[in-house]
Amino acid sequence: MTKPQTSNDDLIVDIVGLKKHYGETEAVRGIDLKIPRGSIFGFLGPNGAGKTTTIGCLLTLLKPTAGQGTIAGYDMWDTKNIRQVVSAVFQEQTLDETLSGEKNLTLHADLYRIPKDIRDERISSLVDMVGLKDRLKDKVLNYSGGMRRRLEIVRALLTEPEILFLDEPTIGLDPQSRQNIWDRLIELNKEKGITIFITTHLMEEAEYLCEKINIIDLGKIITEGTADELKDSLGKDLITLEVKKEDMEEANSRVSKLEKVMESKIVGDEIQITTKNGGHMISQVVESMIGNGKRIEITSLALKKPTLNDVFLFYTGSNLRDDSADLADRLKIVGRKQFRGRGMMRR
Amino acid sequence: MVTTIQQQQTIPQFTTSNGGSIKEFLQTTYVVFKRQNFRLLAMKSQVVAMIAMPLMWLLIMAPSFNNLIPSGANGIGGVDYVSFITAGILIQVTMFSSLFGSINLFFDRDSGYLKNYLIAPISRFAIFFGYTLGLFTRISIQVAVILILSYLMGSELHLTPIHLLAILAIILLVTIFIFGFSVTVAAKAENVEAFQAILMPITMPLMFLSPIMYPLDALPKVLRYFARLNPITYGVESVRGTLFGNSFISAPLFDIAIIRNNVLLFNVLVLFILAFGFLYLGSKAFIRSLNK
Repeated sequence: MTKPQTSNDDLIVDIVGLKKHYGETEAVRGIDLKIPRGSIFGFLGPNGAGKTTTIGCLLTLLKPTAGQGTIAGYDMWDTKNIRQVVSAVFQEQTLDETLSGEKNLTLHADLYRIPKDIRDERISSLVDMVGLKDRLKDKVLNYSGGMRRRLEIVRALLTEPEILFLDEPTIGLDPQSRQNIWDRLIELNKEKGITIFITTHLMEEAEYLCEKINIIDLGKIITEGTADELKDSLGKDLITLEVKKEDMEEANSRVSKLEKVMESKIVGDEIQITTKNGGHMISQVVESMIGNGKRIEITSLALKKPTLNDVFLFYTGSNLRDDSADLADRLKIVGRKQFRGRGMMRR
Repeated sequence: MVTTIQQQQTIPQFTTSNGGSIKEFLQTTYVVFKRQNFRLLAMKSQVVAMIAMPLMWLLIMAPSFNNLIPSGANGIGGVDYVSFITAGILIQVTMFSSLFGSINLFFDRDSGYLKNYLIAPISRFAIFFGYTLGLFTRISIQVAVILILSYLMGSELHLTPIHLLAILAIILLVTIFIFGFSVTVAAKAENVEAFQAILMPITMPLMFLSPIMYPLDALPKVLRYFARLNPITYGVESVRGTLFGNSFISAPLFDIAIIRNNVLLFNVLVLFILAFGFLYLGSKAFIRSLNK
């Protein structure tokens, strides 16, 4: 997991020990980031976990308290060069509503001294892609939330960044707009090879978009991996089996005798079986109902893999963010190898 | 793995404003300035309000006072009151627009728009200067309206293009100075409401302890000293001095021959120093406020 720190060309962000303190408050408490070039990287965490602060540091918007490494091949303290190659869509809307979509775009391109002909060419191809061509002359005031977001994405892309930061980009959007933006982002990543760094607390979003996910809480990275790796890391699948009432006890005892079943219990009118690798397990469950003496009729059988939501709640706890949860306690829980079913597999 | 010494050497580079060449500086300033102008054009109501204020001064205030004061050569120092107060209103309008001008800047900061500027490889000072020049456009429009109306009301301003340029230059200095001052104050205020509350008690003395509406001689002697300490006085008298001659400039605080003989120059010099001083302080305060 830990590679030696070299100026690796495959890593667009390669940073160790990033810290950002605001006086006494330690918003980011020393995180290491290794983001492969051309990937879609997800940064998951509850409100106040330090996501936005981290993005701020990477964008050179905030001055880190400490940290070493490179962004797009430049030293992370070399703000001038980094600013040339990063772009961002912020959590809050940062368009000028009084102006037209077009003005918002041209003014931004002018800041980067992009020649007029190249600028206009890029604008027309990008607005085509996000379907804003007909509305370009309208004031942003008359745009819907989804259109504004798309315009912001176009604006961020005008400078042809190597890495695009998106801070909770689809928050407050309807499912259609959300899906549309996700698809545009994937398209951009595939076609232009832009690395996308996205923070979110929407599991769906992370799962749909991100190749690699880091979960951050209380200013530290708690775990990392692909969505599947993270789910597997919980080490448990849940099988629910329904049989006729009179067979319940018998079925439960048969299942619990199976190898690799970690736990099986009757909950309401179903049997819940916890196991590693539920896919393999399910056939054994079926066999045990058919063979071994009396044949038990299965009413229903389902396998539930843990969702990313389960993973998230497991690692970040189910406390509300306003609770001043004791960090030490939390980290201890996270540190435990054994999973005790906190927050997971709720139905 | 990493020595702290290395870090300390690199950290100061962080906030360098990425200015680059003078050309890049001017380009950035121009883009920020351009946006301010686009905004102005897009907000018609603001333009109307912006023009209405000086109009009311000229249309209501000036004629009333005009009736109290003999006209023509018997007026104040040899000019009629409308001409006299026109110079005052120019600076008064500049003062108000500049004092409240920083609301624009801090609105952009708080609404998030400024972040677009801050992640770009551009000078932060150029951003600040762009806002200043954007403000100056607005004030120039107000100046034009005041001058035209004053002329229509029969004032005796003899405006040659040189006069006009000189007045605009003085107004630019006052704009830079007051806007810088305003930003310095606003950076300390908790929010816009607090900022507006702070401005109220500041504007009163700035206005009435100055020769905007009457010559300083009309003030009691003690207050006259305070008026000489009021920077607005230097703005108003520089404009009047340019238009009507040095007799419109009151006695300086220090009666030194070299100042006495070059009062207009001295007044403009004071404005220069104030402008540069507050350009520095204002931009510092602005850049510092970004890291909050």
